[in-house]
Amino acid sequence: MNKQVSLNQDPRWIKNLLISIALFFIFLFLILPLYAVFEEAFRKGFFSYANALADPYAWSAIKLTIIVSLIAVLLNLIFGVCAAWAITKFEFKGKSFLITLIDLPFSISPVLSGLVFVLLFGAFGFFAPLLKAYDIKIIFAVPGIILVTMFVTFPFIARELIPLMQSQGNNEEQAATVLGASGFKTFLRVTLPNIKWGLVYGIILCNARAMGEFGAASVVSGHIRGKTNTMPLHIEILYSEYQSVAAFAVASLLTFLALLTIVIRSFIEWKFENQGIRLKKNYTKINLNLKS
Amino acid sequence: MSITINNIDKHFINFHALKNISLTIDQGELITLLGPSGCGKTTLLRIIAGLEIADRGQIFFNNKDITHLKVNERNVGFVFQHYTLFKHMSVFENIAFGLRVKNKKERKSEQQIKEKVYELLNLIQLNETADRYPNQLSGGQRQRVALARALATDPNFTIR
Repeated sequence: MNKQVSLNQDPRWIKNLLISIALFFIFLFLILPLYAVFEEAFRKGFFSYANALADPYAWSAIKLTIIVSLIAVLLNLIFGVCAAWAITKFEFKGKSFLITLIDLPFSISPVLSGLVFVLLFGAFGFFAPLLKAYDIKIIFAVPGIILVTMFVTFPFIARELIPLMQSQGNNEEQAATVLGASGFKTFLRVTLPNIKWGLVYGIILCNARAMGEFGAASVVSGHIRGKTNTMPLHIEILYSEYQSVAAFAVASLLTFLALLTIVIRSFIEWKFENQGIRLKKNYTKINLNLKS
Repeated sequence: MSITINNIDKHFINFHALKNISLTIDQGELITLLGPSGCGKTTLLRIIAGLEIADRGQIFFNNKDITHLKVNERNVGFVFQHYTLFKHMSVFENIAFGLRVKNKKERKSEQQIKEKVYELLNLIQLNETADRYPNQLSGGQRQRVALARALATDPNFTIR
């Protein structure tokens, strides 16, 4: 880092100006809102904050959010590893098309994603006769929320692993098979340790997105309190009922989760650096997608 | 162990890498393939090891047709051009890998594995590097570790 600074020939004031502009925007768009959330949540003191969180509806929203993101992350983990494995270790036709397809949920508005699932599983949807026959409820029920959350967070893990595994190639896997390892043992002992931190990173991003999902979940949930309300949906309802302390109390939990994500993320990045594996290119890609 | 190669042909998309190659290598023989870059030396070795599949022709180990035997069942010692040590494993674990991934029946005890690894470390004169990781070794040291790793499973022959 020091080398870069000393090589930079720009005058000192330009450096200072750029840093101040960056800090100003970070303060305006990150620190201030963060402060506002906690300020509002604790406006009437700790007691009403705790009360808001102890509310059974809030509690069931928290539980549902955890269940939904657990399932979504787990299934996307399995899918992500399979997809990344297939794409990086095998040659087949339509590979680049598959990569584009994996990215699709990033480019679709979450509301639209929700509507797609209503069209498929809703009362007049494509699968409606089948679902009716077996009395399965998907839309306006928990399975629907899990489905849309999975859809929206679908690319995170695969997207994280593909560039990493591509850069690593499959030389070590070949070495392992020549030494007599079966496919599964090669995966367990060679591939998995090599992609470990990328995998954890993908899980964290995927989880953060899954817990925060609003648009798609809102379309399929039906907003039944105590049943199909996730945390973001619950926050919205509380806020529109002018219960702003309660709304911000629940929001502060989500915010806390985001902060925790950042901490774990920086820890992993630091760990990456220590191992001499650089993934920066890949990070920016994912980050851009997050913002859009 | 003798190796017999019969009329091997190999194409890469639109490049004819090996044209009708036949070769017999006898027990105990040391063979060197010589030729300009891209003439197919590595391709032939990779076909013998099972990492590439020939379009045509057969390979025999001791007059037994192994053309369709899987890579991990051929028991070939292969030292890769770039050594390809396992980055996340110490030198000891790299050499022990082939012994550890054997199925339960054939696997040696931890003590036997340790003895074998140290015997090989002795052979390549890198005893003191057992706990180091590949990125802490020099190029030559890496090459020797790769050789030791290839020899650990007592392969029928080694390819370098």
